[in-house]
Amino acid sequence: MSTGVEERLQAALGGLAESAYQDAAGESVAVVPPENLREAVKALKDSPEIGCDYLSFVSAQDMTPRVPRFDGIYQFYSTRHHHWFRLRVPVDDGKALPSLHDIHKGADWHERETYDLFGIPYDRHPDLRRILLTDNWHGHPLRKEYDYKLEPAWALGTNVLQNVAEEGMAGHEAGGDEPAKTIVLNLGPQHPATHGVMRLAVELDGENIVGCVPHIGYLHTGIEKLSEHRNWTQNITHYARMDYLSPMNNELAYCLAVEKLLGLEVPKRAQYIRVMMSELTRIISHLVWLGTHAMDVGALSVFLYCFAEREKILEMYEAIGGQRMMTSYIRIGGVRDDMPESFPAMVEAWEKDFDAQLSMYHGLLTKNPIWRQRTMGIAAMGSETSLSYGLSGPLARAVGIDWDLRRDNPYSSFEEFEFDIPVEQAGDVYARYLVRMEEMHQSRRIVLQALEKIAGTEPGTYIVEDYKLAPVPRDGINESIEELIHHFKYWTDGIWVPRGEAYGFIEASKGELGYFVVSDGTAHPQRVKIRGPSFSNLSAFPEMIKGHLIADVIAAIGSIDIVLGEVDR
Amino acid sequence: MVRERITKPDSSSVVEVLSNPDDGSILLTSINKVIGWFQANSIWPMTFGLACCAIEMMSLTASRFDLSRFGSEVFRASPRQADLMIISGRLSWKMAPIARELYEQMPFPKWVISMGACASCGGVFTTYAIVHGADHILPVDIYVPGCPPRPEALLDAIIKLQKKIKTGTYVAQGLKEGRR
Repeated sequence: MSTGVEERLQAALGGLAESAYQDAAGESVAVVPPENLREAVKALKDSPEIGCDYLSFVSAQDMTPRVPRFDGIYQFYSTRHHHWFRLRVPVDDGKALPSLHDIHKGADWHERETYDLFGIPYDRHPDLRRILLTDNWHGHPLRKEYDYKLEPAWALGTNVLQNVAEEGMAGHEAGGDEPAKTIVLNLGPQHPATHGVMRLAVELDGENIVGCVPHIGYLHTGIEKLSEHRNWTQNITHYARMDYLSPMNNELAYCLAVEKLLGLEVPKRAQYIRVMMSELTRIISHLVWLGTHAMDVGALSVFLYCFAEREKILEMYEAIGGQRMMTSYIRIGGVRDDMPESFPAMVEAWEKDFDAQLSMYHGLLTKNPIWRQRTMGIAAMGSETSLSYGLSGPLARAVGIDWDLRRDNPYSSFEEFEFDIPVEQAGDVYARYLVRMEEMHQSRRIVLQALEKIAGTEPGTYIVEDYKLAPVPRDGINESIEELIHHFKYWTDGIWVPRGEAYGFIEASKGELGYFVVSDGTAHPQRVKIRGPSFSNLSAFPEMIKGHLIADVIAAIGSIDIVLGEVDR
Repeated sequence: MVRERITKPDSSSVVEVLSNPDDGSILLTSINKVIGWFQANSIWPMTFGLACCAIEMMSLTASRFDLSRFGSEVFRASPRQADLMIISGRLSWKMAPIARELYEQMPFPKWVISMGACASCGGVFTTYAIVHGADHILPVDIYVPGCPPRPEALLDAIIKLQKKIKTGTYVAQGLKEGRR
């Protein structure tokens, strides 16, 4: 975070903000009344010093018993200056906030989500419906009085797909005397190419797509609500299961946020292990993307090769974390256990072969005329629209936005690593493919560097030595009553995190993954907002696919690389 | 006629081989057993992936674990062509009616495997959004523990299901005949 942002923030906002300050975690925050919100956001977007062209997320926080009850939260980023800041907008129960969908297009879905989970309405929102829960849901789960275990039981006979036409096409005018020119086709939630349980209502004129409305929430799990009822360490378990293709990425982003609140310096060895594991995670995530994407487009054999390669990295996962997928390996203050001695040999055995594997995938696809015809020029988006929708990661880099959090806002000692960031210009499915393929190559470079750096650190320094924050080693418990007490307190009470808020972000395999955590000074978070990259990336889908053919939908979905666990949370 | 049992009569063995001193060997079986034998070795699961477990389900069909060794690799996207539903992951209340409808669309005989802790009981996600056990809405034949279960565990579940099919002791059989 560059210094002096809050002064510039104050200067740009002028009298629009009630206050602007830097909080304890070193993040810039401004409090803006609802009536000034739109002007403030416009001013920040146009101000050359602030230049907030990227809206990371819109959310809220239930501040009960404070009046006004809610705080609308807006997290911004500048892809030019590489700084973050946050707006807090106090709003009372039942009062509306102004919609930002015409300033930042990505706000559309985020506002719908906030409306769904908090019940805050948005003025002049074009399509304010529930997005994650069903339309007939009672209550708003993220309000504090809502029971997180409440089981809704309604008639299972309800056919939720019966109103595809009306529900799917919110702005679509049915009726009139003339015969309808278009038909609405339902795709999903049970469809092999939607990569999970997503539903698309596609309006077709012949084979051409006139409109498209994605429906999500079929995997809504209530992770954000559950976080408020589990302690800080237990929560890691849930987050690994969110983006289940890259579990360690989720753990890392969350731990970074909590460590910011604690003001914790993680030992170097742990930082390098984290870098190594998050890059291996990027590779397994991209391998699943490549295999399924190619399979959807018709190249079946790539799937088999990719999964065979993925197994090798899952073996490393097992060696270091004890499980194939959900390891909960990255912990607050470091990692759970030291890297096993056999690990470097495993990595070396894998990396020798990996370049040859990558070039084989290139050989199967990159110059394959069918692949090129199915992907080139499909679902292209301009860089301005992409930023407006909040697209990040490989999707943004495929359209010429040279932005990677690992380089621009380094975390976990990424500044010590050498790697290139692939950037393409075309912005179509093929460009996204090229970016991800090159990323896998670069990740391999980072893994090797990390392994070298780990060898230069003291073995055993894998977590902070503060027994209020990290478990006591087993031997210590038998020897002193002091350590036994620490052990008992750690596993029953958990970690107590000081009052405050922090935003932890990483460059995950799918884009900017962020955890906004608020602590009220107890053993449980007061609020955790998870900013999943897939959610924003998917919100741009209708714009991306308009004017293409129905067959291109499949190629386009594959290229976004969505994980519904992360979209729906 | 002297009959000599060569194989032990086992509920899961398909044929009973009897040696006949007069004119060589005779194979004895019942039509139910033969049908069960066919069904058990050609299970067509449905491509019905929900969450994390779906990735392990995909691993099971891919190179290393290779489900086709057990005759079940033909994943069908349409429920009308499938006879095994693997509930792979957490089932939300929003998804529940759709899962039920998909089950109803599958032709008899049909089987359900509940894969993983979330599908079996809600797992770690005991929240408002999740069905705490898929058996609230579907008859389940086999529960697989794990979060997520390893592909070997799912493979074991399929082998166990094959035994159930051969002996005709699965849940949907009872449903069809009007008993529970």
